Amino acid sequence: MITLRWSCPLCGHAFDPAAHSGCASCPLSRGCRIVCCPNCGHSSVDPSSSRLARWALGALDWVARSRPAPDRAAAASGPLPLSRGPRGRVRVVAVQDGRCDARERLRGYGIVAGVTLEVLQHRPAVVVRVEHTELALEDEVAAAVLVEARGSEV
Amino acid sequence: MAVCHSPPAAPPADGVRVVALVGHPNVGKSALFQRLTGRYVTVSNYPGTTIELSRGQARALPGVTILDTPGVATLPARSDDECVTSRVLLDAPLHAAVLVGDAKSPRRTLSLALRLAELGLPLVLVCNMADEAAARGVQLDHDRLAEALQVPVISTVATSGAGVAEVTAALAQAAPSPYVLRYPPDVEEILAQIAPLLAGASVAPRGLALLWLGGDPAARAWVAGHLPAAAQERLASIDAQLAGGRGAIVEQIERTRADAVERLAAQVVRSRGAPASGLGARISRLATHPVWGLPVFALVLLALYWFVGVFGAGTLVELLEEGLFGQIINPWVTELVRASVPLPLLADFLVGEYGLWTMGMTYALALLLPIVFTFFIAFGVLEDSGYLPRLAVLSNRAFRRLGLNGQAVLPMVLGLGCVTMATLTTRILERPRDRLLVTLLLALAVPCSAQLGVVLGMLASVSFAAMLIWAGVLALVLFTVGWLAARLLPGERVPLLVELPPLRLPRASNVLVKTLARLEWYIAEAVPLFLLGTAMLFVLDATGALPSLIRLGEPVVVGWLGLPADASAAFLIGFLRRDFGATGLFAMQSAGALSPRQVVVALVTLTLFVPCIASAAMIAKERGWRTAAGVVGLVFPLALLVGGLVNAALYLVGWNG
Repeated sequence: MITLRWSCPLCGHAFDPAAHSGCASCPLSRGCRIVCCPNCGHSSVDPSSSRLARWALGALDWVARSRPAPDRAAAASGPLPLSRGPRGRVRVVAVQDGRCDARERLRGYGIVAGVTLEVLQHRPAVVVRVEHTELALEDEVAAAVLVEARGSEV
Repeated sequence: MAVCHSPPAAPPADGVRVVALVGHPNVGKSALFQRLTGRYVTVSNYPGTTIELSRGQARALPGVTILDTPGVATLPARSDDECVTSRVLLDAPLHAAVLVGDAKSPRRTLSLALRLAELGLPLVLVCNMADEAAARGVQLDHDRLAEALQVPVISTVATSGAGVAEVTAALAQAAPSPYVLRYPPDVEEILAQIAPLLAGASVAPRGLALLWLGGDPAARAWVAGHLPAAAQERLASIDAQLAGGRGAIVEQIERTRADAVERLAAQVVRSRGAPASGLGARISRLATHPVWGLPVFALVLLALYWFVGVFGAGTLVELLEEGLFGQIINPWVTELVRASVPLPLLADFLVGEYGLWTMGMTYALALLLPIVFTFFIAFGVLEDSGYLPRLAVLSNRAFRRLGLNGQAVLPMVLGLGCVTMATLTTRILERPRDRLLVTLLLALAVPCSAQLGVVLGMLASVSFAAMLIWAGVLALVLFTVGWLAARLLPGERVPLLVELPPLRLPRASNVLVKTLARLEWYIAEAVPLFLLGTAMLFVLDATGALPSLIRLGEPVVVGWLGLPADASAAFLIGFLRRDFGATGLFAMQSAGALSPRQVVVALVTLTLFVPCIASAAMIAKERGWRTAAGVVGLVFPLALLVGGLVNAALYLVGWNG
């Protein structure tokens, strides 16, 4: 989950708007969207009270989750399914027996164990390059292909 | 797989030597075919353009017939169109097979080369798209490859003709490759049992045995059709013995082949090259991007709308219909006919209200021809650019709800060109259920180019909102019916796996030739039906039956759809061709007889209306009469139902332009 780092626009003091309860005594505090900096007292709009901002945060979070961080994936030990693996050059470790002859179909395009692929994107479908042929695979098919990250060596 | 079991096409006459072009989808087999034979076949930049065999005489080799086959992604074959190809390899004794490969992807080509070499066919290996391979720095050692497989290896650029002469020369002396791949002992043992039973085949028994083991439907059909009962029983018992073990055997075969390909590639591939970069690659990324893909799609639609709807259906039609035909040709023809034909009835038949010339030919030539012409150009550009498979990626999620995959978008988009042709293209889908579903949706909610052009033109003159309502209702119907049908036709969904060809700048010559070929086909098919429809209306009008028919349709047309009674005539001819009906509505709108709401209702109804005669016949041919009758019987009441609902909804919200 992405957390919001909030700092006062005036003095730069970083604080958590949700934790700030300095206005509790104010009769207008209910539904108030203004937050004051505990350091300098400058008041600004509290982003966590905005539905729009929360929605945007959620969306950013979804994007971040759907795009596997290359370093995290590469660091993970053992092979990963292509659908969740890293971008860039990967080596096919194994092609599992999927539904609907997935393995036969992949073989037709030269995706067999030992081959090097280049993963170009993950959404809305996984796009890989085998030699100079580009293929789009749905997650379900891509999940049957186990890959491990491969450095820049050819 | 009906295609595999139907009797083979006419066997070649004695003395005729047949050469088949075989290869992966979208590697340029059709382009090479065109170069070798001079015969026109459709060439496009997406897999699955060729679904039936084309044959032609080789220009430089007298007595040689060239066959263009559908691309095979896998051999043993799996889909219907692949089956067509594997049948060609097995059924007709081939003089030679030309393996057309993508020079950019040598491993894939080698993998298919091994399989063809095993069939013992005289083989010529063509590395096509050598220009693109060179641009990416892919290098292949031809001499070594030729030596390893003992077959000629030739580089070509089929679109420009480079290397085609060498292919012709090599064909004259093609010989079977002596290359034999040794499999693990238990596989060899089974092959030793099967191969002798298949000795009568025109291909090497060993290769046929491998196909049969792999479950190739054409190989199985060959066995069923050619072998004596004893041999068949023997094979059946081997099959039964293997039972669950067959998968493991196939797996061993494939692993051995993959290793062999890797060994061969290590010898002959000198440079893998660098991935394509530049504008094409960047646009390609944008077109399949989860966010930017949509604006790109919107841009494509907008361009299509502007070129076909505004320029074709607006500017060109105005010039032709009101200018050339309305003011010059038609008054002149009318005068000529009235002066020279003594019978007023006959003159009316030619130039009256429902005259063959003033209605039939004017509709076909002045109203529809410019629209169809601009659409075919726009569509040809779109096809050759390689954008369509990317659309499959983008739309995959939507088709998922229908239990289909994004690949179904191809027949659907092609349906915008011609529903009849697109019905044939449903063969690229793997399951009968998918083919049936897409056929139904095509017949129901996908307007063909001629109709689309008229519809776009009519809606453009109302407002953009009208266009949105029309498109929205169609999309809603498409997905509701698709969703319901998917519930009624349960089955496992095939997940998407599609090749994305490089985006290319379309060649003007190919687009032009394709447009002209389609235009000729359109005129030959549509004009007779237009004349027939006009004649039908004339007879109905002259005998006084038309008014009573219009009165008969009145409760539905006027009461339920809220249209003027005259619109019945448009729907009546819509039974022949939907675009003909649409053109009738267009004429009514031009005369100011339709309000904006009536335009939208009429167009929604007519777009959903019964498929034209040609596409109904195609459905019957591909899926059987019962299916065709079912589709028509379902579509017709549904069209009227939806039209009435739209009318009521628009009336309730008070929309009228």
